[in-house]
Amino acid sequence: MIRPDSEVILEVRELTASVEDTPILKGLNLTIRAGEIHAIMGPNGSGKSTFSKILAGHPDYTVTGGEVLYKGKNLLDLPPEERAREGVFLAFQYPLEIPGVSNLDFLRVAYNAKRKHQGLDELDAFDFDDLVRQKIELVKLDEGFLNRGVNEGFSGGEKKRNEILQMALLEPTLAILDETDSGLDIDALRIVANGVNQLTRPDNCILLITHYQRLLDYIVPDYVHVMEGGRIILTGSKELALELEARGYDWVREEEGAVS
Amino acid sequence: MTITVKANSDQADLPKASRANELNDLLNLAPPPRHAELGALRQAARDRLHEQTLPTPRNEDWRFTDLSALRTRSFQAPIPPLNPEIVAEVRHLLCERSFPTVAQIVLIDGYFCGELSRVNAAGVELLPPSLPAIAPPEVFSDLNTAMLADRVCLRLTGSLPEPVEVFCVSSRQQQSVVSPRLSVEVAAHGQATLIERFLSLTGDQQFTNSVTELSLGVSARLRHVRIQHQSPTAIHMGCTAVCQAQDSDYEGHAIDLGGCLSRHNWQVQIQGSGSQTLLKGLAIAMDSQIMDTHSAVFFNAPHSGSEQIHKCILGDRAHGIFNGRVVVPQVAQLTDASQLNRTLLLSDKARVDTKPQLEIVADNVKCSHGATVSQLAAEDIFYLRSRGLDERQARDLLVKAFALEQLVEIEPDPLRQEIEEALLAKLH
Repeated sequence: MIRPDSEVILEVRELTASVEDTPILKGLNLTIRAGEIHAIMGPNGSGKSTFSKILAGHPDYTVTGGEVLYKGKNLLDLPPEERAREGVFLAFQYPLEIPGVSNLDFLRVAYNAKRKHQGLDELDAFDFDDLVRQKIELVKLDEGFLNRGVNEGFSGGEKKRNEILQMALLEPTLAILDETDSGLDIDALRIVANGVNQLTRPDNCILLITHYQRLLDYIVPDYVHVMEGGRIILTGSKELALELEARGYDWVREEEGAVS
Repeated sequence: MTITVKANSDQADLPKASRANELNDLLNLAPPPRHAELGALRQAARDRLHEQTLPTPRNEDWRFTDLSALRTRSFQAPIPPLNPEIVAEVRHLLCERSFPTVAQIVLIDGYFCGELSRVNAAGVELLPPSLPAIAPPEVFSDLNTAMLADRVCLRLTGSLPEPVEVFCVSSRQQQSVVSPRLSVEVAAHGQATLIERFLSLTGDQQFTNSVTELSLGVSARLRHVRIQHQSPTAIHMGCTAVCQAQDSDYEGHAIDLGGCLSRHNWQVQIQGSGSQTLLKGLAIAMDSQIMDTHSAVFFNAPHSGSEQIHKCILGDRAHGIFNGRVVVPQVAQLTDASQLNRTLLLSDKARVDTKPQLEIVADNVKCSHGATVSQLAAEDIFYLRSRGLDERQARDLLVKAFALEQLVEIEPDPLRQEIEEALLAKLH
């Protein structure tokens, strides 16, 4: 939902970044306001996933220039856990399996880390159990998944649903969904999209990173950006996604070339 | 020609006579035996040691284990018998622990402490020190036998509803050699749990050289939890010798936490068919601890099986050593043995030496072994941090997860929790 007067949550200016001395982001600009849903599309290697990891604070990426303001503060100064507690959430493209760490314990520790940061009392195991059982309805996961190791032996779709369960518990202000649609069948895609839609509020925002228009049928973006060569080269409405699906990326490159 | 004697690590180059003196110096610290019956046993071991020396790195079995901490420590006098102050301190140490047991045995500096022990339950019988000695003829086991002050012999019969708990506490009376000796016989068809703890009073600088003998009768079942949690300045050499009769079931859990230099020599003799052996070890070493586990399972009968998982968690400049021997001679057809060693290195300076040693002659057997060495995955840590856990929480959770498999079967629950807490306390 676009409201021009709503608070700016994320402001990215001329961001450049590299991994192992290879430049990946080359001057990225993006502004996201509260209540908005943005989608970034683009060919493989355009820097989409790098961008999402930089926002979450992945240590392998080095920011070489520009700035990222989150709710007016310099996001890049914060370690990953501080970003998470301040409301930045990255749903991973490939959620990790951590055998031996119970999913329920993990969710509780994460939830309580945020509560503590907000100055709230931590929830005990009993109360947290009630909360998580209520949230798990949203992603239609069986309660049995709570007692397994984190993502241990989960199918691709179950992992993605577990990510959305974490999102539901942590109630982020900025949720970044990195190719959350990859590896999902149509039913799982509907469940995940439905879960995400129920988590949108006027005071939060969502950044979808995807290859395909398919996800955008279910989570309808306010803006669609095309990323290429480490920059956003075109921004449009949701119709842009349909055009990309029909025509591919080459024409965007050509137009951009003509403009510049 | 002159012989230059250098300090510490070059001891291997000492002439054999000098190294024999090292052993004699230790033997001279033997306290008088408390029971006349121990005299013959001690003398036989002393005779066996006559031709022996302390091991050096040239000895294949001691290649990786640096004994200089033991060699350079000066031991002063035989360990004196119990005094009331020490007993009071140990009493205080023990009252912090709480889960029901059928019997409690306390050895302080190798001496049986009747005052703190409780042996009056049905099925738990304290015997005179007469059970057959089954410890392997190895230099430190023989040293224990030669220096015995006391020997606790227990017979467990029937199905014991709760664990028998044994405390071997080393005091700080003086820098000396402590030789605890426990011999347990689980009668045929008996079922028991034995919890054995090696502890220290603060400041312990002693050399604890223990032997525990566990003999399982036909169809007997023993769960054994051994926790070595001596002070960081203690030296610990411990031998667990297990002998299994037909259809018996031994489940051993060994947790190593303490000591600046420690070695657990874990030897299982399978004497009857249909036996099962489970060895689960967890060694957690930090600072510059040296922690060694040498295990050996000897199959002397057909149709038995063993499963072994040994894990090491090593930080700082710690050195872990694992050597797992499995011996399957011609007679032991249809043996099913598996062994796995997994090590988690938490620092760049920590080091592990791991060696499976399978000696298989029988041709119709299933034997497997494997070893892995890993570090905490940066991606795992990032995933947890991206959910709001700080780096320490993330690392703790991952290390606990690595250890979990070794702890999950340990009962009762308060004991497992205690080990988990000790593990986390060591990480910080």
